[in-house]
Amino acid sequence: MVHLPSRPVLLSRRKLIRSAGATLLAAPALILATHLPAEADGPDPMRRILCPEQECGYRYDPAIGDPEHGIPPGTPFEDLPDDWECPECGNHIRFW
Amino acid sequence: MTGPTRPGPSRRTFLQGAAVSALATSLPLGVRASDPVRKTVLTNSHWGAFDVSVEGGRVVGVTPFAADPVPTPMIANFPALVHDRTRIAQPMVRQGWLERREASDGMMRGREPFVPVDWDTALDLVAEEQLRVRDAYGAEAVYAGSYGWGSAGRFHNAGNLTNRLFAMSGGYIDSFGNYSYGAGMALLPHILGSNQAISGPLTNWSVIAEYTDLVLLFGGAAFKNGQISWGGAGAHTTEPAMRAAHAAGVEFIAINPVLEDDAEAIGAEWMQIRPNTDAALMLALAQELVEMGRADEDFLASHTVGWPVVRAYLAGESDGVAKTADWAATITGLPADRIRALARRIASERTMLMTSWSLQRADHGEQPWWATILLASVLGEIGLPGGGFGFSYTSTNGVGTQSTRHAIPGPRRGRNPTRRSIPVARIADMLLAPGEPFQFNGEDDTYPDIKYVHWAGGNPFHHHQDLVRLTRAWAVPQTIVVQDPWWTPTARRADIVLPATTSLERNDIGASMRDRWLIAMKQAIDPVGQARSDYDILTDLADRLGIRSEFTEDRDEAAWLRHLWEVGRERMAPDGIALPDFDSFWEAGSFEMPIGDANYVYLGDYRRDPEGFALRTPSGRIELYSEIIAGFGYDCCPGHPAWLEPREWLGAAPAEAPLHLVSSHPKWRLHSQMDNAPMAKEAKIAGREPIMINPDDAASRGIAAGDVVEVVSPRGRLLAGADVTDRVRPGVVVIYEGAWVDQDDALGLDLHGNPNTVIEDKGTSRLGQGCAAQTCLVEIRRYDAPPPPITVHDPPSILG
Repeated sequence: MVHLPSRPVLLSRRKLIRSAGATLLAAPALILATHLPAEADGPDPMRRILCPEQECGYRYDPAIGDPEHGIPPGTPFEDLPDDWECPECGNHIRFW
Repeated sequence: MTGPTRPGPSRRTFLQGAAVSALATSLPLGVRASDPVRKTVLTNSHWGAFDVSVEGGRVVGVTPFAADPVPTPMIANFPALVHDRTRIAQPMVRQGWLERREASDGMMRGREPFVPVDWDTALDLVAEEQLRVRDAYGAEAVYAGSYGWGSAGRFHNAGNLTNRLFAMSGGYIDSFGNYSYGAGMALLPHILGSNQAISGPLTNWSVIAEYTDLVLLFGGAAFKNGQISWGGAGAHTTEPAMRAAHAAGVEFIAINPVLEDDAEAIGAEWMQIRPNTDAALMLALAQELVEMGRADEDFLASHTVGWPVVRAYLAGESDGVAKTADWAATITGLPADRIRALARRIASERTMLMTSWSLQRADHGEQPWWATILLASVLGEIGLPGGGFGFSYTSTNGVGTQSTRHAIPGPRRGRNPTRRSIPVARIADMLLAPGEPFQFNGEDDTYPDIKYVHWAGGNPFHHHQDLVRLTRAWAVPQTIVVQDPWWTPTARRADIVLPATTSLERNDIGASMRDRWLIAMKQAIDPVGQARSDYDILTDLADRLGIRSEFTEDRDEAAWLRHLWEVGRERMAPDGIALPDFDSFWEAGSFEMPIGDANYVYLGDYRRDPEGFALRTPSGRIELYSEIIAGFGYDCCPGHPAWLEPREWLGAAPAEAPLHLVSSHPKWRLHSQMDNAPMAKEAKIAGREPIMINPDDAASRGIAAGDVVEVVSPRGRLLAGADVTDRVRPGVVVIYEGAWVDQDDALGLDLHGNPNTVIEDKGTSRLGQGCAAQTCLVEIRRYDAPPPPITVHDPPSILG
C-alpha cells in the first residue's frame, strides 16, 4: 500500500524548471512513484542488518545467528536479547 | 566577505613540493637524491591510499593513488613523519615508577626522565602489573577502553586489539561511544530507532544533485573533514560530490560562525550564527512554517508522535515564549528578517538539512540534532528524493556516496566479562571520583576505582577537555601503559612506553565501508628502531598472561590477513560482490568493489509504508516527543527538542570571557596525528597553533596578525599565533584541535595551543554524556613576554 500524503508533495524547483512543468504539477504522485521501491510489505525478517558503528561493517545475518554468543541460526534480529552486542565491534543492540 | 588569511599550505603546492622537501628532510647519510628509487609500495591510511617510494630502507616520497580525484596533501607528511625524531626508539620506563612501582608519584608523569629497557623487561613489567592489579583489586580496576584514531588498516587496529586482549584476560572497564558524536549516538535510537542517520546509508549525493534545491549546512561545509576515512580511502568522494551538486544547480547555505574555504567552492551563502545557538534557529524556522500554514500536518500526523506537544512549545503555550524569528534573532545574532526569509524559502523548495557532528559537541548538544529532525518533519520531506536530513555528510569522507557499505572485518574484540563501560568522555570524572554516582541515558551507575590504564593508538592528552584537570586525574592510577609510534603527549605521560610500528612497517588490508577500494598494504620498510606491531606486543603479553593461543587463534599476521579476507569475501557474496582469492588480491595490490546503490533515499521505505517499515522506537514513529526521555527526568534533556541556554555562550558572556572559542577538526592534521609533521608545522604562527580572530576583536585588543596571544579561561591558559581574518564572526575565535599540548609548569601555560587546555570537562547532558568541547568562552590578549620555545616535538628526557 503506497502512502501518499493528502497535501500535494512539494516538487523540486529545479525539476520543474527542467521539465514540462504543467504535466508534472498535475501529477506529483508520478514523481514519487518512480523513486519508490516496489516492495510494500515491510522488511524481510531474515534480512541482514548492518552494524551502525561507522567503521564496523558487520552484518547480523539471521540465517547464521551468533552461535558464539548463544544465538542460534534462524533468529531474526528483532528476537535478539536486550544485552546482545555486535560480536565484532561490541556495539550494544540499543544503538543499532 | 572574504579577507586575507593564512590557511596554511594549499593542497596543490604542498603535494608538488612534497617529494623535494621530503628528500631534503629525511635522506639518511650516504643516500643521495640522485640514487634510483629502489622500491614503490602501495599503501593505505586514514588519509587515503598512496604509493610510497623507499630508498635505502627509508621512505623518501609519496605519489597519490591514481584513482583518487582529490588526494589530501597530508600524505606528503609521511616521509618525514615515519622517521621523525619523535619516534620512540625502544621500550622505556619512567624513572620514578621503575624505582617505586605503584607507590610512585603519579603527578610526576610527564615530568621526569625515562629509562630505556629491553622488550622482555618491559613486557614482564606490564604483565606483572596487570596480574597484580587484577589479583588485588579485580578486573574493574583495569581500564582498557583505549580510544583513538591511530592510522591502521583493518587488522592492526590498536584499540580493537587492546580490547580483545583485555576481554580475554579476565575483563576490564571499557569506554562507550566516541568524542565525535557520542551525544548523538545516545539520542538518535530514542528518536529514530537507530543510528542510521549517522552511520548511513544516507540519501545519495547523486539524488541530492538531481532533486535538492537547497542544502542547509548547519555547522558549515567542510572539505577538510572529507580528507579522512577510518581504514583508508582509494578515492576521496565528499568534495567531488559537493562540487557536482553545486554544478548541477543545488544551492547551499553555510550556517556557521566560520567561513571555510569550501563554502566558497560550492557558492554557499554564509549565515554567521553565534556558536551553540543552532537549535534556536531550527525551532524558529519550524514555528515560522507553522505560522505560514506550511507545516506538513499530514506527514506529522502519519509519521511522527508528539507533534501537538512540540507545536504548543513552539507557539509558547507551554512556556510563554513563542519561538518566532524575532525570538531567535536575539539568541542567534541573525537578523529576524533573514530567518523569516529562510523559512519562506525552505517552505517552497526541496530542502536537505545536513547537520554536522560538531553541533552536538556542545552543552545540550542533543538539542540541535533533535531539532534538525523536528524541522525536517515539519517540512515533511523526509523520505522524499533530495529532502530530509542527515548528520554525517560533511564530517568524514564518503558519506552519501556510492559505496557498497562493505569492508574487510577486523579481529573480533571478544566480549568483555565485566560488561561495564563508561561514556568515553567521562574518563577524568572516573579517575577523580571512584565510587561516585553518575547518570547516563536513563541508567544510574557509579565510577569504578581504576588502578591500571592501558592505552594504544590514541592520545587523550589531545582530545579530552580541560587538560589541566586531566593531568590531576591521570596522576591517580598506579600504573599507566601506552603503546604508540611517537612521543605524543600521552606517551610522555606513561609509566611504561611500548614503541609501536606505523602502518608502513607492517602488512595490513586497507578498507572502509564508505570507499570502494580494498588495498593490500604491504610492508614498505623495516620497523623503525625497536618498534613492534601492536599485535606482536599484545601477543607477547597474551603469552605472559597464559592466553596466547586464545588471543592469536594460532594465527600470525599473514594468517590473519588471509582469514579476515575470507570472512569479508563470504560476507560480500550474498550482495553480489565477488572478491578474488586472497593471493590474487595481494598480488594485484588493490581491488575495486562495484558501485553501490546510487539512488538510495534515507527513510524512503518508512515514508511509503510507516506500518511495514515501522521504526524501532517505542511508537514505531519518529519521536518528536519521547516518553522514555521525558521519563528520565533530566532537566538538561527534556522530552522534546528545546532551546536550553548553554552554560557558556555569547548571549551571557561575562566581561572577563567575552569570546566564544570554537575548536574544529584541523585542515592540516588528523586530530593530533601529524602535528609533528611538516604540513602542520608550516601552518604554525610564531611556532604556535593558529587562532583565527576577527579583525574587530583583534584591533580592540591591539593584536596584529602574527602576534603570539594568550588565551585564558577559568580552566587554564594557552599560547597561540594570531591569524586575523574576517572569515570568522566577530566575538568568535577558532583553534583547530590537535596541537600537542606543551605544558610549562613554571608559567602555568600550554605553550603550543591545544584548545582543550581552556575548555570545561563536562558532558553534553545526562542523556548523552558526550564531549561538549564547543561550549567555551575565553578572553585573549597579546603575549608580550618572550614566549618559550616548543619542546613537545622533541623526545622527552631519556637517561643513559
